[in-house]
Amino acid sequence: MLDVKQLCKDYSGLQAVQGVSFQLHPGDVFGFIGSNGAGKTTTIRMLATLLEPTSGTATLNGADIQRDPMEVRRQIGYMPDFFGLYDDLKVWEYLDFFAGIYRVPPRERPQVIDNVLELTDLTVKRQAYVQTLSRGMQQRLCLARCLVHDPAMLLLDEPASGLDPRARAELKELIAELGRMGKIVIVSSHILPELADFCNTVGIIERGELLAWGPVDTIIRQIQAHRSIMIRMLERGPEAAEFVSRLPSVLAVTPRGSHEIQIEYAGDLEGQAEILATLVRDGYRVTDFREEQADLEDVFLRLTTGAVQ
Amino acid sequence: MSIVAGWLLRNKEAYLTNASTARDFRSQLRGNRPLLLWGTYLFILIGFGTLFYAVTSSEGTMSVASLQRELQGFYNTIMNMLGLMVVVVAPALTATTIVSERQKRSLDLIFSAPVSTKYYLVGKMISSYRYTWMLLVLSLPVTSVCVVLGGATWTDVLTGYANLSFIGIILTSIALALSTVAIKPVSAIVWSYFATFFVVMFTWTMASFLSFASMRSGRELPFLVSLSPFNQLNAAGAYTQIGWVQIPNFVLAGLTALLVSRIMLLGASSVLSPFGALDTKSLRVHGLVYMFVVAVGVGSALGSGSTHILYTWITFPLIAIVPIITCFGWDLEKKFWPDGWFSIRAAIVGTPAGGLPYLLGLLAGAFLGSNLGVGLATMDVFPDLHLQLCYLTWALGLWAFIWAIGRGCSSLYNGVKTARTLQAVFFLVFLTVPSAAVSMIVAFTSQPGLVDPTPLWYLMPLYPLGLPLAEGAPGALAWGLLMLLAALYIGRKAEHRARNPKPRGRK
Ligand SMILES: Nc1ncnc2c1ncn2[C@@H]1O[C@H](COP(=O)(O)OP(=O)(O)O)[C@@H](O)[C@H]1O
Ligand SMILES: [Mg+2]
Repeated sequence: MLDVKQLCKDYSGLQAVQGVSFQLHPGDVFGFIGSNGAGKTTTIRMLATLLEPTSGTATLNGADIQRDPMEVRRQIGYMPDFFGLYDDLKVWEYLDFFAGIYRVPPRERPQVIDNVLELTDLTVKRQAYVQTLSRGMQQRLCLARCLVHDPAMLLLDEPASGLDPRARAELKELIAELGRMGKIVIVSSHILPELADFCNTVGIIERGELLAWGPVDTIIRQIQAHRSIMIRMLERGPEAAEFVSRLPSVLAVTPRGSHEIQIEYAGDLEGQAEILATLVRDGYRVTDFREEQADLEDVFLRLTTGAVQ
Repeated sequence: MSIVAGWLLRNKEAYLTNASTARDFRSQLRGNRPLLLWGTYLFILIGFGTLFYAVTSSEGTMSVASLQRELQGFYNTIMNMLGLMVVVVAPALTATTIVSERQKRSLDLIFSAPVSTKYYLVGKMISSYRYTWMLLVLSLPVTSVCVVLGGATWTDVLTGYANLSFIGIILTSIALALSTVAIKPVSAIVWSYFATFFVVMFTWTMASFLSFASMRSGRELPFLVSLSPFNQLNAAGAYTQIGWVQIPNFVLAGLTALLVSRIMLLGASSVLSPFGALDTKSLRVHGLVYMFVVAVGVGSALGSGSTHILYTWITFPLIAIVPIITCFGWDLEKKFWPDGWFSIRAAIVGTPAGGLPYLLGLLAGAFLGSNLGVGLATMDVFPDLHLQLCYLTWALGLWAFIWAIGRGCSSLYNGVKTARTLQAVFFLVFLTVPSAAVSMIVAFTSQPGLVDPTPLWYLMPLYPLGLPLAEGAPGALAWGLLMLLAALYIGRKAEHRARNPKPRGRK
């Protein structure tokens, strides 16, 4: 598991990362969300042992990023927010180079390369030169490079930026697959919907501070102390609004036209069921009764001030 | 046992199965370009040989002696061409390697893998050096013609090749070190050729100067001659007498190449490593040891009567490193943050507080080493010690003063780079430029005193030839103390400013 404790980084007076802490377990796909300049890259580079933290620590399966960087490096695959590709190589040579760098025994290399090419769907491009690949393919090749040594953790810095929707969808599928393979995956992005559907954990960073982190639904509930319920009926909308507002634990009622009302509710699920039962008992013909899910976007907007450093 | 095995494995990985080397090899040998290059290269060499053959054979009758001389001349020309090839090709191949990876930002990919800087640098060094070496080997057919025709012996040719290979190693390692420092490929190339020019000029001057100076018995020559790329005819078969042993010069040249490339790789590694890395510590210790060894060598070569100028002059090249070790500033990696003005531990860790103690260590190494060298050569231990101490004070004062200037500049500006440049410029104005004037005065004055060098007296300890030793000593002492005082004053001010920095912009 990854255990990050009070990680800080100062850039000559500017605190780029201030006391970031979180824990992740195998299989966690962690969406690291923040606007530009929030400190995502800095945090990820510290976890990749490329930057010395000013203070704080992080350990990956017991190995400390500062005291035992080589052990950490053996267990991670880092994909920066740029490609860093070598143009003068063929795809398999590029992967062979990194397999060599990661000390994969020469005998196993062809098999490993086949596997990662298969996983990233690049098998047909095996003999192509790196510079002839499309952007999406280059991005997948970068990911393939991170996988040659079967790392326990992947650090992907803005992997989806600059990809067309199709390539983006493919990449998401691939990342989700890596999570299912039991790896810890950290994916950063400044675009929220990009992460919403395949992360099971999120962290929201703003001006170097991690404002909230945890499982997606927990975070949403944390932010949203009371539920928002939408009720639609065949008729008597305003009348129903009047009626519901007198029920316990209902904080506010907003009529939406003549057929629909929205209520803010602070009670538990029992009470929620009771509201529906009461309405039906009193002869309101309810067609729809549902809790509105606040999505990550709402959470993000509520948490952050939108300020950029 | 397992320690030895681990060491062997690491070295095998770095030197024999280096992934970096394999990758570079693939792109170096790709397509028709290398064939074309090598073809052209061989064509030039062979064409030159044929031309020469045609010219000599058309002369018709020719005495055996003059033919011999002609052939030797031919061999010499070929060797000089090879020397030129090494000098041109080695830096060109190496200088861009690391800086271009930095520009491509592929260094991050490599150093997020379990790769030590040593592994990476050795790989880069091998891949660019191997190319130079291939070009050398390719020329063997041409030089072997010389042997067959009688212009040279196989021993000449092989030692010549060995020496050229060593020069190649030295130039490659220097270019590699500069490549880690440079920000743009162009500047890396320019600086590498600049350094190459300096090395070639140095060995060449030494070669011509020393081979005249030591017209002793047989083929005894200072080994530096072997490291001049344009002097292989003279260098062949030469040896150096140490005690009762005659050591072939190419052995010493090889040793020198090894030592130079080692310290260059350590330097490069230290640049790429983060704060407090082991490589930096190793580099610092190596620096002290090398200073001592070089001082012993120069001391034993030049003998007594000049000890004090030995260490004043030996320390001169220090200006290449002084800006790096003395200036401070708020960089990203914490490597050069101000951490006090004097700390012995920092001298090895490599932070600015270690600048002054490290300089003192280097001076002590030069002083002790040169005296040991002189002692070995003449059996005279610490000759004229009281005079020497005067000159030592001058050297101390000078470097402390330069140190203080660097600290002062650092405290005035936030950027450590600006401070370094200012310090180097100051050195140039304060020492190098007036030095030229003083050496002119000394050289053109048959009678000391004819031209008054008073305004430049602080430089006189470097040129005691124009002044009797004992006469120069008080001046050296006085100037040394004066500069020390100035250094203390400026150093204190700078330290005060560094401890109480003005609020620095942003946030
Ligand atoms: N090398 C650097 N020197 C100085 N400041 C930097 C450096 N790199 C990043 N920063 C600053 O640190 C903050 C965080 O940057 P970064 O981690 O790249 O943000 P993100 O990846 O979330 O966009 C920014 O304010 C940025 O200006
Ligand atoms: Mg970023």
